Amino acid sequence: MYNKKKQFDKRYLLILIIVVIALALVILAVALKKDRKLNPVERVIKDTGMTVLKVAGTPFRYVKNKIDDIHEKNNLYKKYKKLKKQYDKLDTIKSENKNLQNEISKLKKELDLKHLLSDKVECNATIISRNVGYWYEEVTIDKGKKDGIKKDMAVVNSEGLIGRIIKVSNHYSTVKLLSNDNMDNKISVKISVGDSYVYGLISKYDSKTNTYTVEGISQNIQIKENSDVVTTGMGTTFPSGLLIGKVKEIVTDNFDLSKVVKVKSSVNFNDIDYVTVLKREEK
Amino acid sequence: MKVAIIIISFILEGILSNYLPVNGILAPLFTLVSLVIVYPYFNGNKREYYKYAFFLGLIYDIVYTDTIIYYAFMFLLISYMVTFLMRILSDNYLNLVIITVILIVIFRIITYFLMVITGNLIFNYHTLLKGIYNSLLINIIYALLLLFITDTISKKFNIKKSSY
Repeated sequence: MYNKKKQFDKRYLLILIIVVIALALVILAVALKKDRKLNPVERVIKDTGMTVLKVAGTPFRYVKNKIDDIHEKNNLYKKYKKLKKQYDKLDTIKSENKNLQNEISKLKKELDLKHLLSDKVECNATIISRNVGYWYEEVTIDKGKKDGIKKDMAVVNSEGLIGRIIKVSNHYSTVKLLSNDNMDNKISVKISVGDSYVYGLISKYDSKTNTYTVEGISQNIQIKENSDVVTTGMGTTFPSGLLIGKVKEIVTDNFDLSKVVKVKSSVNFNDIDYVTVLKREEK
Repeated sequence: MKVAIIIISFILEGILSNYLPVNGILAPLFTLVSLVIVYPYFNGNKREYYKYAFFLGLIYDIVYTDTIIYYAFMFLLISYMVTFLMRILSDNYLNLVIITVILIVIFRIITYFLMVITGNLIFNYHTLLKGIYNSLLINIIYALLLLFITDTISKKFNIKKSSY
């Protein structure tokens, strides 16, 4: 009697495992598709869950802010000296900026342009959870559909571009970080060379060295190390001029036909707390 | 008691993720750990235990990872393994560590290979290994701590627990 029961258990386990794995495969393939929209039920449950998480996390956030404040106070003088130097130049930059803005708006009127690639609308957000589930490279922010956020918007922090919105619920949305190893949605970037720009595509990210690989650059262009890399605003929905990083290393590809540029990311992906969502202005 | 353990672990995982480096040495998997700790409190009522695991997975899916029902199945599989392992190993601190390690290794390997097969990750032996050893340390510490706390509470209030 006992023996029979044990055998049944074993067979049951095998069937269970096969069914679970087969189902999981199908579900994962469907669920992780990039252009999947959350259905209303999912959205409501996600909103409630995230709200609970946000409320429960408030005391933790308060303590962390206090600790950060104390750290900040310790090297206040050093920072003051550094900022003072920058502040002296600020007035000239400000007036120059104003002058340029003025010129742009005049030229826009003259040429009858509706919008530029660099026009953008901003929306600040706080991060609520980071990368739960380990493999997904996603963070959740506390702004959603009600705040005008849509899919594929660019997300930046004070250091540079960090990712792209992939899923939106009513009050929260999910950001896919640029730090994932396979990048199926390539980002077009430009590297400053002297006064002009060279265009290329980001094709890879290496998490060990925190660098991107930019491909598609002609062999006979001289690129200097430490030159800025920014988005172009073409192709994707990213506005132009978002900082991605600085050139770290230039190598030729395996066939000696084009250059491959390694770009050191300006963002520290391990420590992101506050972000800004950017939307390209379109009318 | 069991509901409190599950909910606290679930929320703590989300909150703690904010203060740990992304893909650093400490990757929390507290919801999985809570499934192990909570099993003796069902007093052998396996059917109810599976139900809890399934719904926990479902909520994990929708709130955290946006994968419709995948974690619900994963947690069901994990909970089956827990009942199996608890039958062999009794309920003490050393066995708890062994069970946690086995479950985390299985969980990470299955998830990783499914992600590779569905084309969301590129296979890299090193990444998989890193994913496993990153999540071991913090979860073992959490499991031991949680068992200690729940044991003291259940002794004080005379809550019955048995792993059969």
